[in-house]
Amino acid sequence: MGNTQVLFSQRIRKFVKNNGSVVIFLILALLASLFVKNFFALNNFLTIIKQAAIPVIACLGITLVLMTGGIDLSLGYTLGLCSITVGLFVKTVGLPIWLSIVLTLLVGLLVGLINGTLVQVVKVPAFIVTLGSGYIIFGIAQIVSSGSDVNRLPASFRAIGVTNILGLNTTVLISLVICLIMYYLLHHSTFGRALAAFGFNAKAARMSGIRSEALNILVYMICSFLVAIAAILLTIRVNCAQPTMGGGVYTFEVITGAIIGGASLFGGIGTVIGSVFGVLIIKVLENCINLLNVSYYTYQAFQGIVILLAIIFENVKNRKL
Amino acid sequence: MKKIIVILLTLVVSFGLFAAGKAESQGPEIAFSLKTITNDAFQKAIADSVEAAAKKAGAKFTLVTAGQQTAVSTQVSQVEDLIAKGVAGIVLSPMDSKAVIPVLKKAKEANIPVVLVDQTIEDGNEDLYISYIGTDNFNAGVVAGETLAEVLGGQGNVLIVRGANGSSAGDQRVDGFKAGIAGSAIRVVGEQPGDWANDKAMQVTENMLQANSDIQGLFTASDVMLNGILTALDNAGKNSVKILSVDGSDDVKEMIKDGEVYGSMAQFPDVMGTKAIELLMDSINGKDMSGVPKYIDSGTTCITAASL
Amino acid sequence: MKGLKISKKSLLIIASVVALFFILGSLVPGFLSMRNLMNIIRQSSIIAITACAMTLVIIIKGIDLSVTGVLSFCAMVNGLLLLKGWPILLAMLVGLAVGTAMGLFNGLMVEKLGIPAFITTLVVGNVGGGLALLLNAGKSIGAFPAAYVFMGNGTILGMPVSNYIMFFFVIVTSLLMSKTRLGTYIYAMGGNETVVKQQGISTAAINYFVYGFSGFCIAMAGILLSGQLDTVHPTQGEPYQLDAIAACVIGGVSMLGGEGKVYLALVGALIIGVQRNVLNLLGIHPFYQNIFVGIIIIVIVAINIHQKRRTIEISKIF
Repeated sequence: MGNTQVLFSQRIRKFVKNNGSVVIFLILALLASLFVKNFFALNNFLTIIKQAAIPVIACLGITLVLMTGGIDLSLGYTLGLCSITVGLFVKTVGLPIWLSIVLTLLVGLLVGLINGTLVQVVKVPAFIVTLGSGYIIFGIAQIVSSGSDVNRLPASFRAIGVTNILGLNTTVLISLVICLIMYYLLHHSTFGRALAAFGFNAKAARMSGIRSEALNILVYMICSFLVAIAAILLTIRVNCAQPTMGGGVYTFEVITGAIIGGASLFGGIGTVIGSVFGVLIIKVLENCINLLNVSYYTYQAFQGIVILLAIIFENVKNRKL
Repeated sequence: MKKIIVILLTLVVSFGLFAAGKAESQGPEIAFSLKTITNDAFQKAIADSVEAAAKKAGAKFTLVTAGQQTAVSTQVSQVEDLIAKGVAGIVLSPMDSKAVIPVLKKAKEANIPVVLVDQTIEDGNEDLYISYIGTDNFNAGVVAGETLAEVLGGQGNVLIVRGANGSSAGDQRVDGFKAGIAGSAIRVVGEQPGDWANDKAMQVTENMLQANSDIQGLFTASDVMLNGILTALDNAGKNSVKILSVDGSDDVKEMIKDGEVYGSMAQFPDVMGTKAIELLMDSINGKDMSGVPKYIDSGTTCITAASL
Repeated sequence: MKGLKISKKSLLIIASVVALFFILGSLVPGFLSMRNLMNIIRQSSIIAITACAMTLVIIIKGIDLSVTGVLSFCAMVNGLLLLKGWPILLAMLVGLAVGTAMGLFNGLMVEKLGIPAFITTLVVGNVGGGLALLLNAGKSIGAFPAAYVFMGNGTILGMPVSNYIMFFFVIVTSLLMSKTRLGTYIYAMGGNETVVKQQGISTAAINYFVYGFSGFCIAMAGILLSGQLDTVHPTQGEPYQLDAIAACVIGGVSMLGGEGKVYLALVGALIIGVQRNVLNLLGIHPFYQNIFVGIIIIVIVAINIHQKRRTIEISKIF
């Protein structure tokens, strides 16, 4: 009998150690269900999932980049550029929807290609490359849009994101599919293994035959590609294409989600589940703040403190377990 | 290090030639300093009207924006640069009522006339500007509140979607709204910041609706957040909520015609721009400005379906 | 300074800088006026003070993303005390203490809990920003005592007081890094932490010092800014976060740690200031300004890196 007890507690430990953000999420959800009126409702859960679906896509992208030991500060601005791009193509220029989407995705890929090339070939630190490219992208987005929005988008375009299939919102479905693809890519493919190896030790990875140059560039391209998808879905969600969508705040929120989820800034570590739940934690927090009608000046400090506690927990747990 | 300098040199030289090549009229240079024109149709409208009026008066127009909704010190640096440059006149939409006072004092010392639009500075500093032309943001909120109270028959629950924290225009509008509904049985059951962003506004509206599904009205500090708010209400099946907003943009006029929004407090950016240039040119041309009223109300009115 | 040799290389560089100034002066209206140049230095002084400490943080392979929040919060605390009638120096002391405390907290998180500096400073900064909003319900405060405003705006012997303060910080930090043992340890820690530990030097103490010092400098920058503006706006710290880091990197502080000169970070801050100034003076449309800033940052760092890769020995003069 003693043996099974030990095994069980070992398994719990292992689970907690590997999935810290899931644990934090469950604790938060529990506390919220008990203490926050209106939290424990199917409607509310569905709302939170819908709110988290799009940032999750971007978060998965940045998780990959973080795993290489890099970063993408242009994320939020790329979101804005892709948003206004798809809006202009669909409504102002009047291109067919599929073409508008393809072109926007290409824009995303292009941004990633430039970022990745500057980081890998020219060897400028990712922090600086993406900081600079962020400014440039923001400038381009403003010029292209003359500072204006494009709203009241055609229903056929919006249908991509807001239809309900079998009760589930298409945006959520798309997000789910991307999660599954990423899960496979990261945890069950050579790409994923190569990525982790590269993140831990770039030189060793290269010497063991991994084409690390291509890998590094590819990772930035995947990230920006995912951001482009997120931008299209978000534009549909709010029914407005804006050059200022996302921005610096969005970048940091997404990165925070990835880090709460356990991704390491030094590279090598990152999980799909971790990042997904990292984002969910942030959205649950924001949901509670709104439900409780926390004073609008308190919420920033409040949210920050909770996130701080989550990170402390994550780190203490990693050491103790 | 040497290479850096060479590159910098090349870049700046090319900018200089680029800019020099673009120099058009030789008239006095008038600059307009404000927070941003991006994603802010109202600010853009003021900028457009100032530019048009300046060009019409034969002046050279320079636009200077701080780039963000709350980068206060950037605006101050930019105005300092304008003073050093020696512009003939400045139109200013101060991002903070106090922060610009030291730099306006410098403008006064340099004999550069200043006209304020849209936002004003702290009382007691009237000597630092010719006139302030603007909508009273507080008053706009009051009228919005009174209008909503009337429409809802004096009772009901409302949500408020604020602007970004630290934005005085947004704060004044909301404070005004609350004053406007005071005395009626209307209750504010939820109030959260939308940060002037559609996705944020949508999220907070969705969440507030979870806690308060029984609402009859909604007030938002700006039209720019309406897309997100409307979608959130639509998703929750709340289609008969009476919405009041501020700005009176072209977009919201469409929404009012379609019945999605009840009304929006129109501001008159054209009046601000035209009047501002008029006053500045008068001053530059040597007219005596002492008789000009310190506050010129550019007017506000509630645009509703009835008035369209 | 002792041991400074003026080599031919440095003379060439100085000559280039002077030439650059004259070219800018002839092409950009208003650039070369005393008033404008003093403005640039005064505007850059805020970035420069934060960059002083940021240099140290980056040298030990850390980063400080709490600039925005800590700057606003400390300035707000200081400002509120001033308005309550507290003596200026005492109010400033409290503001500086708050900043240092937040910095030490960052150090604690990094040292004791092993939390990456990126995230702990980011979140602490966020909390600070939130507190700045909370303290005065989102409203700004101003109209400070004249002596305080003089610190931000006044001039002594023709140079703004802010500049004196900035130079003081830069000189003290430079001397700290180049002439004291602590400085050597900090460089060493950025180079190879294990070796430092083996030598029996406390990396914990270094961490605490560097982050605490960073908090101190950020607080000073916030206080100085509020003197310049005669206002504390709860979100006034916003533009300075990225500027501080960019100043360091442009100044040649390596993101890989272990090297960087404080006075070069000052040069970086000035380059940023000049760049913004020139773009404003030329009246370039704000949309395009963003693009230029981005390009310049990338280009400068790319050049820096390539230069370093070609010369194995870096001249210690520059």
